[in-house]
Amino acid sequence: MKKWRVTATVLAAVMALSGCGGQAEETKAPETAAAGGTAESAGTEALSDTPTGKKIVVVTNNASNGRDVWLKENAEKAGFNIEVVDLGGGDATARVISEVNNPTTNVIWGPSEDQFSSMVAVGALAEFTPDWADDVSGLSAVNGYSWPYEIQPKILVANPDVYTAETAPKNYSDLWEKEEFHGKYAVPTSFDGNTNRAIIGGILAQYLDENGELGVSDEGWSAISAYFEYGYKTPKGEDDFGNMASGKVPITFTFASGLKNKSETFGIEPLVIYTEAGEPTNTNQVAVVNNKDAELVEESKRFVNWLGSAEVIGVYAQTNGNMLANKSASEYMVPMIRDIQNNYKPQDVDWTYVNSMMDEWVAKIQLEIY
Amino acid sequence: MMEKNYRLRHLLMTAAASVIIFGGIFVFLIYPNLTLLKITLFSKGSFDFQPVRQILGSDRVIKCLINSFTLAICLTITVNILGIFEILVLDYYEVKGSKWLNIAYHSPLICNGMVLVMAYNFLFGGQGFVTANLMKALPNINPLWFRGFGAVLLEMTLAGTSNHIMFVRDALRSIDYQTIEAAQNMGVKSRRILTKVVLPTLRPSIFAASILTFIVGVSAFATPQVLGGENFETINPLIHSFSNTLTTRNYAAILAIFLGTVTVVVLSISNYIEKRGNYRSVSKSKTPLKKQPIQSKGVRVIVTAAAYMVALMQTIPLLFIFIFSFMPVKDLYEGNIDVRNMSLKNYISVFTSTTGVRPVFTSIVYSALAAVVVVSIMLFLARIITKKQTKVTMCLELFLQIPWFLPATLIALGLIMSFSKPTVFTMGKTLTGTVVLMLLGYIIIRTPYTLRMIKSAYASIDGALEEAARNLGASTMKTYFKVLLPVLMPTIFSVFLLNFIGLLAEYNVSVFLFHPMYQPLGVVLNAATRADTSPDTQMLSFVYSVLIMIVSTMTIVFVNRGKKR
Repeated sequence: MKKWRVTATVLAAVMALSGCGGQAEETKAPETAAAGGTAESAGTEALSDTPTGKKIVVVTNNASNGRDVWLKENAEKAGFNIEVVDLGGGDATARVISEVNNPTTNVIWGPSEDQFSSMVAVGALAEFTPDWADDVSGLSAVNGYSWPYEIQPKILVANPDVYTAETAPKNYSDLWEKEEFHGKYAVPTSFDGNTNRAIIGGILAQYLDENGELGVSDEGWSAISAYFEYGYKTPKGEDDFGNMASGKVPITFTFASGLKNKSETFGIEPLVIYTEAGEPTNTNQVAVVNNKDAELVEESKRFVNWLGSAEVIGVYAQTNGNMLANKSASEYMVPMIRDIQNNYKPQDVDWTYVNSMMDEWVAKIQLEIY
Repeated sequence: MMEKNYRLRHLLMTAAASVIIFGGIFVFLIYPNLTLLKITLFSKGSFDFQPVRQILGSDRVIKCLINSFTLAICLTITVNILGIFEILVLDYYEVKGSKWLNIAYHSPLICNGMVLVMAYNFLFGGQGFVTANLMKALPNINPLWFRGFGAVLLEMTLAGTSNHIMFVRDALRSIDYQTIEAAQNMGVKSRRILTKVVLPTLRPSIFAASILTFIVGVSAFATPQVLGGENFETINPLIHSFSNTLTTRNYAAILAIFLGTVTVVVLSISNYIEKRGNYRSVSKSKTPLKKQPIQSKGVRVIVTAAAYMVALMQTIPLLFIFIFSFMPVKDLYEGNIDVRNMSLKNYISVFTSTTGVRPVFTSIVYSALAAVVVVSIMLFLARIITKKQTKVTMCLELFLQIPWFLPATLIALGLIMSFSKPTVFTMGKTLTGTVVLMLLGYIIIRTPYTLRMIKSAYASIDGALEEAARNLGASTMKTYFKVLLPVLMPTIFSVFLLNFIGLLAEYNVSVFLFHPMYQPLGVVLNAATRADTSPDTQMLSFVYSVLIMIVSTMTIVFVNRGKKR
C-alpha cells in the first residue's frame, strides 16, 4: 500500500517538474539557421586548396565493405587526416542535432536531404557552397548548407525467373490489388530507415487529402493496410534480397546504391521494375558541421570540396555502384546504374510535406495497421 | 570538550558528505531522466492525451503488452527451474564431469543478446542449418517449427540463467553444512532436506534472481523480434521504434511509464513478500557444503543425462557463432555449412577496418570503469536504503529504478540535453561531446540491477556478525570494511562481472554518447548489421562476437579467481 503511494508521488513529481518549467528549453530550436551560419559563408571564396592535415571526424553511413579504408587512404594521399565514424543516417542526424552546443564531428556524409534539413533547422551546420555545387544543381532544394552527391531512387526489383517486364507489377497498387502478387512481395518491417519511409511515403502520397485523417484519404489508409496485409514481413534473420533471389518472396525493393553489392552477393541480376507513378527518390548529401574552431571548419570544407569532386566521388561510385549527382562524373557510373538513371522517373511528390507528416503516419501504421 | 568538538566535526563532515553524494546522485543519475520525461511528455507545454488514447485504442499494443507479461511470468518460472537444477548439479549433488558442466553453464555469460538469437535463427529458423537437414529427413515438417512463444521462451530460458549461476550459486555454496548434517542425523529424507532446509536458505537470492528475470522478460527485445514471428510480438521493440523518431518519443515515454508502473507494482508485492519471510543461516562458524550422492540409480542416470543435455543446448549455439564467423553470408542464409567456402575474410575485414580492434579496448576500459563505479556507489546507497527505511530512501530507490524501463535512447538523450551547457554541478563544464558522458550513461543503465543485487546481499548478511563486531568495540566504519565487506566480496565480484559483460557490447546508449575517437564495440557491431549496409558486412558481427566471447571468458576466469581468494 505504502509503495503504491510512493509510486503516485513519483508520477506527481514528474508532472510537477514539468509544470514549473514553463520556459523550458525546447527540443527543437526554431529557425536559428541564419544565426548559426556566422561569418563563415564569406570565407568560401578565400578558402585555400591545401589541406592543413588537422584531424577531422567524418561521420558517414558509407563506411562498410572496406569503404572506410578506401576513404581514409585516399584522403591521406590528398593530405587530409581523418577519423571515419560509421553511423546510420538517423543516428548521425540525432548526434549532430544533440551536440549542437559542443560538436564532436566535423563532416557528415550520407544522410538524406530530409535528415539534413532537420540539422539545418537547429543551426548545427556551417554555411558553405562547395566548388562542385554547379555540377549538382537542380537535384534538390538549395539550402546553402548541405549538398547532394548521390541520387537515391528506391526501386522495386523482382526475380527474373519468376516475372518478366510484362508479368511484373506495373505499380505499387498492383501488389495488393491483384491477387497474384499476394504474399509475393516484401514490405518494410522497421520504420526508421530512409528507404522504408520513402516507400511508405511514396504510397500514401498518392492519396493526399486535406480532409482525410493526417492528410490522407480513407482510400489511402485502406490501401496501405492492404499493402501490409498482403505483403511478406521479412523477419530478422532472413534477407529480403536473398528471398527475392531464391524465389521465396520474388519481389522486393532496395535503394539504388545497394543494388550492385546485393546482386553480387546473391548472384542474381534482378528485374528492375519501373512503376508508372515513378520511383520515390531522394538525394543523399554531405555537409560541414559548425564549430567554434574556424580552422576545423575550413579544413572540413576543403575535405568536402575534395570528396565531392568528379574524380574522387566518381572512383567511389565505380566500385560501389552509386547513382551520382555530380553531372561531370557520370561516365564513372557502373552500367547497371546508368541504365536505371536513364529509365527511371522520380515520383512527383512534395517530399517536404510528406516528410513532415511521416512520423505521425508511421505512428498510426505501427499502432493500428501493421 | 575535545570529544564534543570531534563529534561536531564528525557530524558536519557526515552532513557535507551526504549533501555531495546525494546531490551527485540526483544530478547525474536521476535528473537527466526526469528532464527527458518532462520534455517528451510535455513538448507542447501541456500534456498531450492524444497518444494515450491512440495507445489504449491499439489492439497491437494491448496484444504486445499481454505477450510481454505472459512471457515475463513464464520465464520467471522456467529460468528458476533450469537455474536451480544447474546449481544443484554443480554444487549439491555428485554428478560426474561437473567440471565440464561448470564451464558449459557459464555460456549465458559469455554470449548473449542479438547475436546469440541470430545464431539460434540460423540453426533452427526457416532457412536454418538444422531445419534444412531436418527437412531432408522429414519433408513434411513446417520450416517455421521454431517460431513463436515456445521458441522465444526456450531461447530466453537457456540464455537467462546468469543470475542463478552467479548469485544463487554463491548462496548455495555458503550454506552451513551442519544444518544439512543435523537434518540427516534426524533421519530426514534427502528430498525433504532439499525442500525444507536447502531451498529455503536460498530464498533471498532466488527472489532477487526472479525479479531480474521478470524484468528481462517484460523488456524482451531481440529474441521476440527474431524468433517471435508475427504472432508473438512484444512491447519493447515497439517502444524502441517509437523512441527513435523525434515526434513519436512521447509514445515511447508513455508506454515506458506504463510498463514501469505495472512492474513497480509487481516489485512492491515481491518486496513485501521478501520482507515477511527472512530465512537465514543461523550458524556462526560455517562448515563448507559437501556434495550429496544421488541414491537411486535411475534418478542418477536421468539427472546426469539431463545435465549434459542442458549443457549441450547452451553451448552449441556459441560453437556455431564461432563457425559462422568464418562463413560467407550466402552460405549462412542458405543454411549451407561448407568448409571449402570458409575463410578468414571476415576477420581480415575487421582487423583492416579503420577502427580495427580498438573498439575492443575502448569497451573494456569503459565497461570496467563503469562496473567499478556503479558497484561502489550502490554499496553505499543500498546500505542506506536497507538500514534506514524512510519515505526519502524509498523514493530514492524508486527513482533509481527508472532506467529499468526508460528506453536507453531516451536515457542517452536526457544526458545530452542536461549537460549540453555548462552547469554548476559540472563545475562549469559542458559534458556533451566529452569522453565522460558515455561513462555516465553506462553507470545509469546498470544502476537498478546493481542496486537490486547488492540490496539482496545486504539482506542476507547475518545481522549477528555486525552486532558482534560492534560489541567488541569496532567503529561503524571498521565493522563495515573489516567484517561486512569481506562477506559481500563474492556478490561484489559477481555484480562487477555481470555489469562488465552487460556493457561490453552496449549499443543504444553508446551510439548517442560515444566520443568519435573512442568507438565502443556495440557501435561497430551494430554498424555491421544495419539495413543500409551490404549483406556480407553482417558477417562481421559474428567476428566481433567471437572477440567479445574471448574477453568475457577471460574476465570470468579472472573474477572466479578473485572470488576464491
